[in-house]
Amino acid sequence: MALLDRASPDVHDVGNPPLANRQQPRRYLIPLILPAVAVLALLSIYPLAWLIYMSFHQVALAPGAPDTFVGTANWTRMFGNPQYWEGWRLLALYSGVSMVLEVGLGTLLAVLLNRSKHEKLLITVFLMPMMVAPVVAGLLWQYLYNGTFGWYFWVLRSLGLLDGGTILGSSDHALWAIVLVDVWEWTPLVALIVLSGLKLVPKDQMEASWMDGAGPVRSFFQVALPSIKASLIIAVLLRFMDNIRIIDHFIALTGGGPANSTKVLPLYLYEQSFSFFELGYGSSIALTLLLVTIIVGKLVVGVFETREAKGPMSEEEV
Amino acid sequence: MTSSNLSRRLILGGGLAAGAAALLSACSDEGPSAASRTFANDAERWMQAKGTKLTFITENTPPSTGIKQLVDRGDFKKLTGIDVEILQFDLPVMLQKAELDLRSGGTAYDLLYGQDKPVTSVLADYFEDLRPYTKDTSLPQAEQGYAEDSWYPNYLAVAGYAYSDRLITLPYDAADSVFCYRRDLFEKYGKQFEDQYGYAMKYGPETTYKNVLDFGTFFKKLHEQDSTVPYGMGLHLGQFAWTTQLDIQRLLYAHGQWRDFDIDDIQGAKDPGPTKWGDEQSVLGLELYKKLFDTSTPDALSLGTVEVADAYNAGKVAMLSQFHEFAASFEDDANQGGGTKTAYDVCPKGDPEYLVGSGKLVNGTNCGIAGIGINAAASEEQKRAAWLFVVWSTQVETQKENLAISGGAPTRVAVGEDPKIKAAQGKPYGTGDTGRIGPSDFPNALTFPAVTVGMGSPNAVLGPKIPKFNQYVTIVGNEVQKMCAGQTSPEACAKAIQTQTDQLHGV
Amino acid sequence: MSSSVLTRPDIDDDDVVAGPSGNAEDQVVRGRGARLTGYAISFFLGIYALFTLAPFFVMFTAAFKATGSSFDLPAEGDWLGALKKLFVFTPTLEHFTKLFSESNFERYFLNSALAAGGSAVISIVLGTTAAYAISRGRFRGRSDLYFWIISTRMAPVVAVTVPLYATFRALGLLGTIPGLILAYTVFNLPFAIWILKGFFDSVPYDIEEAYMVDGHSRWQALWKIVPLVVPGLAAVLVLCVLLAWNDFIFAAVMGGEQAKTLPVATQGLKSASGIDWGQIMAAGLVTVAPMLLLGIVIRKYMVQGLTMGAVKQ
Repeated sequence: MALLDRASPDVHDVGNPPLANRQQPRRYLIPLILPAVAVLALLSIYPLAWLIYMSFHQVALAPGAPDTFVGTANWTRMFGNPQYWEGWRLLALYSGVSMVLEVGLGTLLAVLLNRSKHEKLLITVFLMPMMVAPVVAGLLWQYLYNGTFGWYFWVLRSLGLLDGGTILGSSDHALWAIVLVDVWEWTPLVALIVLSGLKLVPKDQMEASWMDGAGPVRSFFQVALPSIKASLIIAVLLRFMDNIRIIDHFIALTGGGPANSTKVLPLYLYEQSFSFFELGYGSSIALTLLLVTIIVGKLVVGVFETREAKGPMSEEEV
Repeated sequence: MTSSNLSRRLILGGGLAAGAAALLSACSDEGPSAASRTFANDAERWMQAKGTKLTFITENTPPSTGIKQLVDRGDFKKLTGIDVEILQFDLPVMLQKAELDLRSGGTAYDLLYGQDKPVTSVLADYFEDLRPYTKDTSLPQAEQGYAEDSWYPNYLAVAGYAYSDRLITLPYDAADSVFCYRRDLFEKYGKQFEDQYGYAMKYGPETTYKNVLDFGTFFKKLHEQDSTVPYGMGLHLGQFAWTTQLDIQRLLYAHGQWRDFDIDDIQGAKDPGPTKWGDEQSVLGLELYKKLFDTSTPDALSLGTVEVADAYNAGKVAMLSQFHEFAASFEDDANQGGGTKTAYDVCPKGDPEYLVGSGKLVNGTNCGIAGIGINAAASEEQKRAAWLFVVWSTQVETQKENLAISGGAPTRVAVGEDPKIKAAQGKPYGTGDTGRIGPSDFPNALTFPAVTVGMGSPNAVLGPKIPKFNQYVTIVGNEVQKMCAGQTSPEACAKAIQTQTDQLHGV
Repeated sequence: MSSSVLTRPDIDDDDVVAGPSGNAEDQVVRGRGARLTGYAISFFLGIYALFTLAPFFVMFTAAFKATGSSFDLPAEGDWLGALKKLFVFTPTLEHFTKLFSESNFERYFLNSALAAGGSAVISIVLGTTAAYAISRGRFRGRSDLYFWIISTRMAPVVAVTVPLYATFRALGLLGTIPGLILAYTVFNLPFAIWILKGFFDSVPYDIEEAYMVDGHSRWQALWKIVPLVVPGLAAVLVLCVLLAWNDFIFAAVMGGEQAKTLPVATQGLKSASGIDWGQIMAAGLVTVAPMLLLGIVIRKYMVQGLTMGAVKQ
């Protein structure tokens, strides 16, 4: 039925309005777009160039000493350093697990909230953690996990679930403790994105599916999931990019410890660049992170544009 | 913004560092222009930089908070007519900000807090040489002078120099390790302990690490029967690697005065050569440390310096080596060890059982002595004004005021000799003459007898001053944590530190 | 074609997005009559709400507890004692008084507001024009340009901080509010363009075309359709404020005392000689409360902003 219509390329080509624009005089566009491009160029291309330059130099450490060209030394050192690869592994593990949890919980929440009686109230409540500055969230959870004052520590101990007697002090637990903070703060974002996807599933379809005798679970997989699949992909990619970009939780909670068990790559980069001022080496790490982020970004935009090309969903047309 | 304008500015950005660095080297040898200034009296001398504005970047330690309060109430402005903005940060953040600025030739900060090893041994070259200032008659000078013996033992040696004879800071703030323990519990369970171990449960300068391990093991067993009794030894293992390195360094130094590198501890070395980690003594020391760890609370790995103090205050550990500025919080009645229940003494002595070879057994004590210094890249006028603040903030009168309001840790010996503060040193306690218990009007003064002995020869370990100090302590911190978590053996731990440290220094 | 876009109920309606009436039980459990499922759902939502809210409760109460014994935990397993500790205490404003009398928190608050507000406004203004141009423009490299713009937001903050620091010093922007505004614009502007382009794409071209045929210029045409994307603008504005307000690393590195923001000031309360959790929780509350209020006030716009831009359907 309508579902099939929407899956096929749409003739209502609103998302891509070039037809009408062919006769656009270009001179109108330039002043419109230039200020934004200028600001972004200043703040991104110049730093990028500098980053590339630094990655091939030993950046001056003593006053008056010029930068020394070191060829690919920073790069070989990086690729040969187990800590670098461990940083990737931890980042992948951290991002992977938080994402599975966030997408699972977020979707479940969205499905349950969709059209529920207290939807507005519950959304308002569930969105609260998203508003918290990540560094404050980190401090707050550090307090909750604290072995001397922390209520979560106390509850776990009282329930007999924490034999080791420590949360952030254990190499086995610390990463998962930070994952939990990530889940707390960002599951709402996933729920929100999925919820908005669900809103666009026409009511009559869902009802029809139920009439056909499909249970809620089956009708979710048959009717709802296909139309929120793209939303989910975008949610996942967005979260992955942010996990690379933002390390406030780590800074506030563990600083990478204990015994490097939470030193995800961006945090390792932060340490090399800002604690040790290994600016050349740090730049190599930064560039590899940047490269991976851009690839992921390309995927996001790809998903995005594919859907745009298919045209907007004409959900409210009755 | 036109594009040519834009690119000009960008080029400026890149070139700035080099330009400023050249400027920096040009003026670093000159010293202040003592020149032609004459002043009728001291008051005028102090007023010579009236109207200047200074910026001081410092750690958020109690003495800095005290100095800030004195500045905010106008003490310094009244004397000099200078406005000082004091920026306080957590040490890693402070270091990061100072380093970003100094390395690129900046002058955002005129005055710098130089925590001896993490800051000055990394940034020594960016500090102004203060020697010419101390001899400049057109500038105010400290009444007590600047000689080594006007400060607490070794303070000037630790804070003042790195890699040369240039005097880069004056001691401003101090954190020395002392041993703090719950004497109420020692008294309560002393009999029981003596029955089991065959000697008295008392602490003094002759108490060794082996005894402390016995105390710790004893407390841990008690805790297993009665959870209201604390665990044994508190350690510094959390996020702040430097204090982990200090924690293990004092233990190792106690045994044959083992040191991390074979370098001069006052001057330090830009190229320290191979580390001593990996030798037999370091392995044996780590074994002992692991045993102490096993007597500690289960969450010991997450406890850094601050958190272990919280744990002690909450009655989770019975004893610890802690920096003496913490006495103020330990004495607080609200805390488990408060209200004179804590005794302070020098750090434990080495034990023959854990000594390799025939070295000396001492009461290994270490410290973080922060000096106050001047940014060499600042203008001559700013530097002269900054000197006024350096003198004022490190003189006896200011430190006494500061001690009264912030409970800070003075660096001038004369402060401790003040009758009021002498009286605040509490009652002798324990088996030697360095132990003290409260009550006290200035709780930090309870530690002064222990500090004076601990920071003197042969107990004090001052180094290592090396440019990659922060990388070095990060290696030590990580590997020691791995060992405590049971992932590696003491031997593997010592070797891992050795390999990484030598790699760091290209050995 | 969809003139209906202009009357999308989710733009005008007060609801998140208009949906069919009825409640969760009706919808999800219909036909099975499984009351049990209904309970299970309520139970799950209840647990999740607890998971969401408990940290806020702890932060809120800790901010009003006097330093000292009120922070001690009860003995392990003493649930009754725990309830008493959590709910029974004499509230005090000491932490807040300290924040504002000794720590200049009013200045940090102002700094945060100026930096976040300033960058949001700039991002909106530049973002609107750029998004419009990209949406309507037809030129070579359009999609590359668009991707480049979005990619500037993806850069790991840490990666670009060192070069940005040097640039900022050269421009005299370190430790200033304008500097922070500019830094936040780096990640807010691409975000604004991204979302706003989605909005412009959904406005049919007919309107402007007709308008321009009447002899109006493109600028005037842009103004003509701006009102149609007002919900989008509001959402982007708020999200930009939120992202900038919550930033830590930029402000920590570039901020200095003159431009210290609330998250930096809050983290700065940790010191090497003691952590006063009551103080930190009070500061956290001061940092978080305005954003929570904003979140409640603009909830519906936020849902739209995120959904129409990031997940434009």
